[in-house]
Amino acid sequence: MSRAERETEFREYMLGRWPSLVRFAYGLTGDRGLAEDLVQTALVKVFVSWTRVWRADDPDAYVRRMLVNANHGRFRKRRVAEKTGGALPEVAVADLTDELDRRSALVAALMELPVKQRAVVVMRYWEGLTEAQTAAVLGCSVGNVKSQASRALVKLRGSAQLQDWSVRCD
Amino acid sequence: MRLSDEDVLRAKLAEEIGRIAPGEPPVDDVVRRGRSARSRRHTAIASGVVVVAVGAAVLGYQQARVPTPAGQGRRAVTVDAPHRDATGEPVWSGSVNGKRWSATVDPTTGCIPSFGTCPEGFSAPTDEPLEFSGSSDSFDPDKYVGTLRADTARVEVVLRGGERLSLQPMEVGGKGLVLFETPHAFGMESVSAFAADGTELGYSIPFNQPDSASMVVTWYRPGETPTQPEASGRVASGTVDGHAWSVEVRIGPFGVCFLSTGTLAGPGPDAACNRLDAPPPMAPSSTSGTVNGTTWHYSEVDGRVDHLDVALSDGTTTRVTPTRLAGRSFASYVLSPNIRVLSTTAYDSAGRQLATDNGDTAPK
Repeated sequence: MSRAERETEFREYMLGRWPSLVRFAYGLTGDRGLAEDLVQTALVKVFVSWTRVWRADDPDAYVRRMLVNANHGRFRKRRVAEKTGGALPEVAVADLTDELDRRSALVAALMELPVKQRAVVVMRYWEGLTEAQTAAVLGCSVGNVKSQASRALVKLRGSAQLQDWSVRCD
Repeated sequence: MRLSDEDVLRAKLAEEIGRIAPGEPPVDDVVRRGRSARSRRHTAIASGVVVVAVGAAVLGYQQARVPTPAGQGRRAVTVDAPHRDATGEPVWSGSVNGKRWSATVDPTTGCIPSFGTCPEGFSAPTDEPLEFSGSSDSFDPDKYVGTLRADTARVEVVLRGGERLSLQPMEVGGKGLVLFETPHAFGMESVSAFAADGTELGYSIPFNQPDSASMVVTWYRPGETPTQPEASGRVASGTVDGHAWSVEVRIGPFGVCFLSTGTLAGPGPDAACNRLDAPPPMAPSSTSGTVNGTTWHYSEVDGRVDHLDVALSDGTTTRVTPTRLAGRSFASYVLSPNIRVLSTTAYDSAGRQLATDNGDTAPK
């Protein structure tokens, strides 16, 4: 297949999957702009690897892994920056009040979870992936996915952000 | 009835995340950045050659070249032992027909642009000793990337004609990687993986697809003799929008491989292979590849399947009858652009429904 054909394939893939990938990344980040940035960066890597990605059984799994890793890397980098110490220059910070108000209690509670637990929650309960599929994306065991999901549910249940967690219907 | 926490979570996530309205996909920008990342490969190759030359002169860097077999002239393929450059980035290098190549990790993206791969997207295999992938352009050497299982310490590749490559891994992101190039569609006879103490972990007989890179699919234990006889045949053909298409299956010790051809502005999608022991699905519905908007579907199916009814997005249902080859069943069809599969339902010869699958193309 020629390079032009592969590029056409990639364009079709990106057009088709963009909304779903951004929503997935939103679940990881709680911020739409950041989610779009993450997806864009991941898709650049996908473009570079397109031949291999397309041959994979599940291209979406590759992209999800990229997004989870990119989000994890974002936290790692921030942690390193925080350790550098010293006086930081004062910078103007945008007022995020409105943005935080708009963010739902659920998304706020999600953001309180560790990165890996959050990824498990989004994949299992938003994307509807099986435990095995989630484990494949994260590169861990099914047992680990189960325990991460279980811990996440406990934390979400006890979160002050979620007052209406117990829903009943008769 | 009390809804479970999981049900509540699903409903709330569907409500909260589902209402996010993403902006327009920046396709052109992503493609431009992707092309730019690819073009950096030329710089990487040039600098890589310099590093290798300096390393050889100053550090006594040794190339892991295999002795040339007697009676053979200059070998087509050499692979050097990988090393790290002054910045700590890994460097793989070698030559094809005397022409040097080199590959490094782009620190800004974590990708290896010259090999079209981003290692962070793949986890190390846990069942097979080595996961192999090749990429191919007609006018360039084929490029191979192997991701090693944790206990695999060395890989040996025997190329068609007997040339033997000994590949040492370099760790990237916690995974051992081997990289090498061969002349286009050169072919391989075997790939073997070894532990650190020299024990053989397994071997594979690659599928040498025509005019493309070899594929490594099925692995055997040391000493195990493959029993699958070779067989091949056309399992489906037809026309879509006036263009002919066909799907050929090749079975052998390498696995079960699909080759597609047609007149849809060139060949069909690249070959695809499954392991010999992969359980065939009842009602496959995922897309195998696309060419100019047409979607190709080909899969082995469970032997009990008599026919598949495929419901399509244009409101029609098409019936696909599997073809038998070497005791296996295969179902194939090609769809016009903008038509997608909504569901696939499998029936046995008595008309009983065996399974149905909404597939990965169904709307969420």
